[in-house]
Amino acid sequence: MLEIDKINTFYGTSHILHDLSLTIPDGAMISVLGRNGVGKSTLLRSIIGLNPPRRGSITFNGRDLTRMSGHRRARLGVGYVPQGREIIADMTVSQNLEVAMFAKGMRSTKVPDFVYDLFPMIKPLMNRRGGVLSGGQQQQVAIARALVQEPDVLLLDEPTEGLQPSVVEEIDQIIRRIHAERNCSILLVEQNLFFVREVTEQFAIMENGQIVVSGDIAQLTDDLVAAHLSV
Amino acid sequence: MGDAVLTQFFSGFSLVAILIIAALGLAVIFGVAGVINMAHGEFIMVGAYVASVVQSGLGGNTFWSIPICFVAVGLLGLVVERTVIRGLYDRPLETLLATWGVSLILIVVIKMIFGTELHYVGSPEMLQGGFPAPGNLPFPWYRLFLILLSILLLIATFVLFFRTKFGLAVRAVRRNRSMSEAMGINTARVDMLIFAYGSGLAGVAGAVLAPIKTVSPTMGFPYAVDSFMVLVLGGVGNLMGVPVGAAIIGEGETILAFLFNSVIGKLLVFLLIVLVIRIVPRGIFGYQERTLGHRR
Ligand SMILES: Nc1ncnc2c1ncn2[C@@H]1O[C@H](COP(=O)(O)OP(=O)(O)O)[C@@H](O)[C@H]1O
Ligand SMILES: [Mg+2]
Repeated sequence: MLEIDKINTFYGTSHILHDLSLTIPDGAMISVLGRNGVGKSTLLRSIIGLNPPRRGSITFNGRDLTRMSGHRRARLGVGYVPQGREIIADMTVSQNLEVAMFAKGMRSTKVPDFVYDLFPMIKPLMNRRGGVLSGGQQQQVAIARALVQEPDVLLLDEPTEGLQPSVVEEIDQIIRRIHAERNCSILLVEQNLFFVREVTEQFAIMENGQIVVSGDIAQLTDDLVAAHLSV
Repeated sequence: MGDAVLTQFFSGFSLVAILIIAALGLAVIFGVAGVINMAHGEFIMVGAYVASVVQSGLGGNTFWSIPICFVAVGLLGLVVERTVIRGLYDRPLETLLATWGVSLILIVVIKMIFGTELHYVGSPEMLQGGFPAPGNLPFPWYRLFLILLSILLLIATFVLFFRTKFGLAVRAVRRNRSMSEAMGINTARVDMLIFAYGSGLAGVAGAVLAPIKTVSPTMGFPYAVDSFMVLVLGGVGNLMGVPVGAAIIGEGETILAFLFNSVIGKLLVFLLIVLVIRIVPRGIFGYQERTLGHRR
């Protein structure tokens, strides 16, 4: 269980997250919605430790993450797929996966079979450099990189951003399967409401660094969408 | 004349080999941790003093002093990283000043411990003398030893970075620091270990310099300057930048110093570097996609 309690996060002097609280129970899949710039990525960066909050607390499976350095959070089981994917361009796909397993402190860095099952396109690309892959392929590698670490919670930041519709469909299917088959809870930042309504159980809408509405996905009405999400 | 130039060409191998060892240390520290260590020359100097202690105090020779200097100066680098550099990673200018301060302190401390008189260190008996070579002079065994050692250290560094899992993690940090941390790599520890490794290489450079130069508190400076020039000329995108840059600078300085004098030699090499970086600003083996301020 991941519990975020009244965190306040800053970039320098600009105050981005204001007393934000959110709980992600084990096995849950929660979507975070909101217009550009409201602080969704900052929330994920606060959780993984790239932008630790100055006030408030983050607790994960009973352990206080708030002041913990980033690498220790990953080792405790927080998986992170950043906006923009950030796979290492001059390393091969297999090296990108290996280094993630090594970083997690896993004894074996052999890519587990479930990866090839979830991402059939990966096998023929194993020896290609990350930088030459298409956006959709990079996204799959970025998700695979988080999954080989066997995380307890997976943070996904706009995984379908900037991808073609057919590729978006592919990524959506993969996320669906991860939720059904992998034993981890998911915090999904996503703009595609159709997908969000179909797969997530709960939602939280952010505005100005705060969660303004949250609840079961059935409560995500068109009125709420019009009020908080339409541009 | 031709024979004399050939002799100089062979004698330049010594400087080339020492520059490879010294610049390799500087290159890994700059390439991974993003730190320009202004105390690198003084780390070389400390290595040379450790070598003189190994010889006079412990009765060991260069074969002993190489590993001992690697460890001793590596530990010195580790302490400097933990105490001085750790808090300054985002601030290149402060890092320059702080490491320059470290270099001054090292000079003073060494003067206090060893006095200002010069120390002489001999080379191992089996490396004295040489074998016949084209030109006017025999080719010293010690020079051959330097060449082999520099190749060995290049290969060892290559294996460390490209054939080990730790090296894979180091390369990830080098390319994407924040994502590496988010993946679980202890990036601060990688910086520390790389700083220690690069410092240890400076120690080795000092150990092999001691038998061929007089050991003095200010002996490291010219080698640090040349090592910086090796990085500027060779680039830090690729380990090959180090031997190529070292070969051009080491041979250039040695041969031009013979043809003209050492000041003109250095000046001409410097002009050559300026010309080259007009054409390839990041050096011959530059890293094109990456800028210096890689910490976010
Ligand atoms: N590195 C940064 N430095 C300063 N401000 C930033 C930085 N990154 C994001 N911001 C600001 O923080 C706010 C929230 O950004 P972000 O979390 O990326 O929003 P979202 O992911 O919801 O689009 C924005 O106003 C953005 O301009
Ligand atoms: Mg974002």
